[in-house]
Amino acid sequence: MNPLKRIRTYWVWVIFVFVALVLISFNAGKRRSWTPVEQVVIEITAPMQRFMRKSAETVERVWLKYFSFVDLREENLRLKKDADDLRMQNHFYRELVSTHARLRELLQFKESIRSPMAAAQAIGRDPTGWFESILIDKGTNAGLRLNMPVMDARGVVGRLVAVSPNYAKVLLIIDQNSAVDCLIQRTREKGILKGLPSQLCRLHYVSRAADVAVGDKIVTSGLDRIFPKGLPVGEVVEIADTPWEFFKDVRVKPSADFSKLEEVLVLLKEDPLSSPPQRSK
Amino acid sequence: MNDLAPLFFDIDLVIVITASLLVRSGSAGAAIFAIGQGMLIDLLSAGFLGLFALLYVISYLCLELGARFFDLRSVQGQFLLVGLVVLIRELVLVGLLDVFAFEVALSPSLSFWFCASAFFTGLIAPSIFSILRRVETRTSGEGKEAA
Repeated sequence: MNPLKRIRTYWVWVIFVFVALVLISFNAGKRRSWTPVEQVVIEITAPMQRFMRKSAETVERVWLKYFSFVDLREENLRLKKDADDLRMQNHFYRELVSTHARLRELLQFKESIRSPMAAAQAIGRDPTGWFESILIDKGTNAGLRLNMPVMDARGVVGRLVAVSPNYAKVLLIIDQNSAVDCLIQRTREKGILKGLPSQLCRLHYVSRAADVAVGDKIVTSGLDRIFPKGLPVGEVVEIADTPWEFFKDVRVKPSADFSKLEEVLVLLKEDPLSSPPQRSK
Repeated sequence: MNDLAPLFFDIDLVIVITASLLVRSGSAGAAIFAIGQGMLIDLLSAGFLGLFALLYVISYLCLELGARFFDLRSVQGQFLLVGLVVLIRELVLVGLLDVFAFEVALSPSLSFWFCASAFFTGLIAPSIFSILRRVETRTSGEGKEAA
């Protein structure tokens, strides 16, 4: 190779490695929203991603429709039985709700103000397979801001980590970068829920003396100032109590089904991390 | 990790196209494409910005180095070098994630999926090279006609 050309090639290497290292060192450990330039890139590429997803969904729907005819009768009987069970459960829960309302009134609890919500559609998943995030089709134009909690009908999904005018990125609670302050509903023991590589989560810092059992429900504690208190997060599926560890190893199965995320709800509340906590007088 | 291992089966078209660009457009074009794609992936993913940019620059460097030992104009060279670079990319990624305190264990099943990704990406590389060459020939032909 020509020595001049070789030197030029080496410079290309050096410059690009330098750029990548600068990027990685400035951003490691930080979580920030998209810059205006990045927002422009997202605005251009996200519609393509949406198109790809829609195409895949159409193919999947046609395929599933074909299979749905096969066991239609059995499915019909099963669904009727499920509907009866659900009717009974519904009756039971209505009773619980009315009891709860009466108790609340009795204890003179103030009704907490419910945040308004915005519905959004998931238009893309994390392209790497190593991280857990989704892209949704609503952004600052719909009132979305950083760190707003995201839910689906079953429970907490994640929080917004980047927003552009028409799109936003949601960091799912099953990602290893995510952390949610939680409570065990039955015993009120606290812990920090973090993602694991296997679609499960681990509840960290649950002391060995804590009362926790398989099947216990996990809810948000509200202490992280991102998620309101009492939102369903998941259920304990596994507990390991190692004698030489300070804490129990508690595995949690999230309530939300992350493999079928389509529509999500974003709780429209101010970014709690952008302002210091208010002190009570 | 075992349940999710198939998620790590990844036909890496970015590396194939980078290798193709390295042959046709030279170092600068390939490097810009690699870092650009890496940055785009970083924007869309929940990982830290720069991770995939660095990863694809490293892949580009491996291609550039490997091109001295393998002939990227031959089918065998394309298969071997692209497959090898995909494997290196996966291993470097695991190493980087480990550096950033991610829980990643290089289990036998994960290694199997990495090898499968490398093998199948290497397998389709000659076809992609051929398609890109045809596209380039056609577009350059149309350009000449227009001129």
